[in-house]
Amino acid sequence: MSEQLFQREFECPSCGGPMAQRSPGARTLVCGYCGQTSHLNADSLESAGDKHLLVDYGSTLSIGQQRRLVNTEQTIMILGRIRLKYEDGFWDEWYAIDLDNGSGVWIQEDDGQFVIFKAVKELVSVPDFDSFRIGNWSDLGGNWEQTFLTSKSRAEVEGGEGELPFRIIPGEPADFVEGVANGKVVSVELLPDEKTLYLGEPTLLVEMALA
Amino acid sequence: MDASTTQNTSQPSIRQFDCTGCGNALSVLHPRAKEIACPYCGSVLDVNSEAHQILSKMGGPERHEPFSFLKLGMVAEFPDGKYQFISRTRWRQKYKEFWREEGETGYSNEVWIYDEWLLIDENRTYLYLVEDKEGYWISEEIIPETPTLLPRDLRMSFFKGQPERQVQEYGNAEVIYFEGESNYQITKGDQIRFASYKNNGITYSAEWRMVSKDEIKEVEFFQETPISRRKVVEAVGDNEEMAVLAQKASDWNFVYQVARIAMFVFLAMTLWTCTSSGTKLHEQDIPLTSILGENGYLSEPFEIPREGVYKLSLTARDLANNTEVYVFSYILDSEGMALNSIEETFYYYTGYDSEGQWTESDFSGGKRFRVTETGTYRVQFFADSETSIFGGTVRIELNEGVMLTRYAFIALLISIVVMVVAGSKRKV
Repeated sequence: MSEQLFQREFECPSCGGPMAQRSPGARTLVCGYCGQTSHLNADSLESAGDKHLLVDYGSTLSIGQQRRLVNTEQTIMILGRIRLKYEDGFWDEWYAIDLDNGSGVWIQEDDGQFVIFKAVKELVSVPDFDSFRIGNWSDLGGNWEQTFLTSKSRAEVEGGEGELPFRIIPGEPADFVEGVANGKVVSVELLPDEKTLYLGEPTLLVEMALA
Repeated sequence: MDASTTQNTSQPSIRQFDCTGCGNALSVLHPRAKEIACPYCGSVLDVNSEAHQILSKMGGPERHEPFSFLKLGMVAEFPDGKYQFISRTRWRQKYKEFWREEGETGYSNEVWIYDEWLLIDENRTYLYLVEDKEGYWISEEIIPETPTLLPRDLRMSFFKGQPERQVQEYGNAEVIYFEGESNYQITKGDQIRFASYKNNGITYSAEWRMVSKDEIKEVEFFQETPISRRKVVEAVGDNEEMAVLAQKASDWNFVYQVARIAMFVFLAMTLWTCTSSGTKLHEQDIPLTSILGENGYLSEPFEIPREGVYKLSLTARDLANNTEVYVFSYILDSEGMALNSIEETFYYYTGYDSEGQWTESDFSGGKRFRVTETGTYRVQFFADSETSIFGGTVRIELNEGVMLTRYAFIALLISIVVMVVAGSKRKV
């Protein structure tokens, strides 16, 4: 099991409510009281964007939960989430860290379906969004092996909760492209501060039991 | 909480309101539902606005009833959990279907109508149940290793270890009706394209939606596994509605069993009425030559002691070779009023041809009739013949204890109809 988690205390720059940073790599903290998104800058917090508390739709996952991933035998703790919305609705990306080594894990939750993603590589030169042709193969600008593209959409950040390892601002664009390669889900989310390629596997809820 | 905070953090698990279109009560189970299509009037309502305004119309549901007992709101317990039916999409698929016959192959144009039920469990996990007139399939999204849409050679496989198979079906599917809740906009006329193949009884398919004529919006991959009707019935067996349906089915089964027994009884009765002659009350032999006269012949009187159904038989006896006689008779009551009539042609022909001796004959006939008044009756005979009649007699025989064949036959038909109708309803 893990050693004691990293923890730093802050006050929300908007409402003064207490906020905790629990992973050294956190770049965004969202106040659980007023919904203010703040960016971590050295030892201080700076407000970023409008306040926005995410509606709770009764997800089984929640911040602070520890879960055991059956397939990888990892124990993770959920630290935050980002909600992205697009023309057909929205989905949540839960950010968690491996309690043994501190590495990041993302759990995508969309209509009760879960996909566990891990970052594979930073994308250096991402092709223009319009150049991605769904139903065709792409090497994602030479950055990755051939991927069969299954969907793409213009999206935006609706808001966040807890803490996140990159900077977000509610309302900023967050276009995404998804595909499949070698039986795994490939996801590229094109945020202004984050262009990383993730590789994921569909997971049942019973395969990430509460620890 | 700050006044500028944009949304609340709690959401009731079930929302209920009356349909803006028809006033019927609607329940929304999925917290993320955006729209709900009323199963009563087809109005598509905005779930989240206070007024629940009508966004569109699906059309009346009467033309698109479910294929079986399944209904929105039902709970189904499958091995991996308890699910609730929250929506039903009726699709019409126009597609090409692969055929192979006597060494030749090709694709035929087909149409398939089916329902896609969406179920969710307590963790909002989805389950898709496909239903048509013939059966059920569980549909699950899969991540293929070797994805493809519709290859030029019409052979496909989604997995590296799986041999390529012939594309079994490909074409378009269109939404023709929707009821229940949805967390995205669904419209009558929405279309997808698809291509599918089969391997070991499982159907694998690629489905894609177009954003324009040449551009695909989204691709998804599914596998469909057949599930028996029995398993579906067992899954939804604990529902109150299913208990009502099961009781109805049980009632129909009782009717079916009764009708089946009745059918055998009436069949036996029909056969019996055709073959049984009852108990003999009267018999008389009348020379044919006596009948052939201009005034005919009046039989001896005979008593009919009880009301009921009687059978009067006429039998020609000792007809000479190559003779034919037409006999017409009335059954007369004591006042000489005709109660019924019997008409028969008796003949006996015989000869030789290349195959030997041949014979054609008809010696008997009769009629069943109902008597409502007891008393003395007679039979008035008339006869005519174009052949010379030298001898022979006609025997009349009156029997009681018979039944009118037509009643037994009608009862047999009714019991068969009841049995067929009850048989079709005795299963849930």
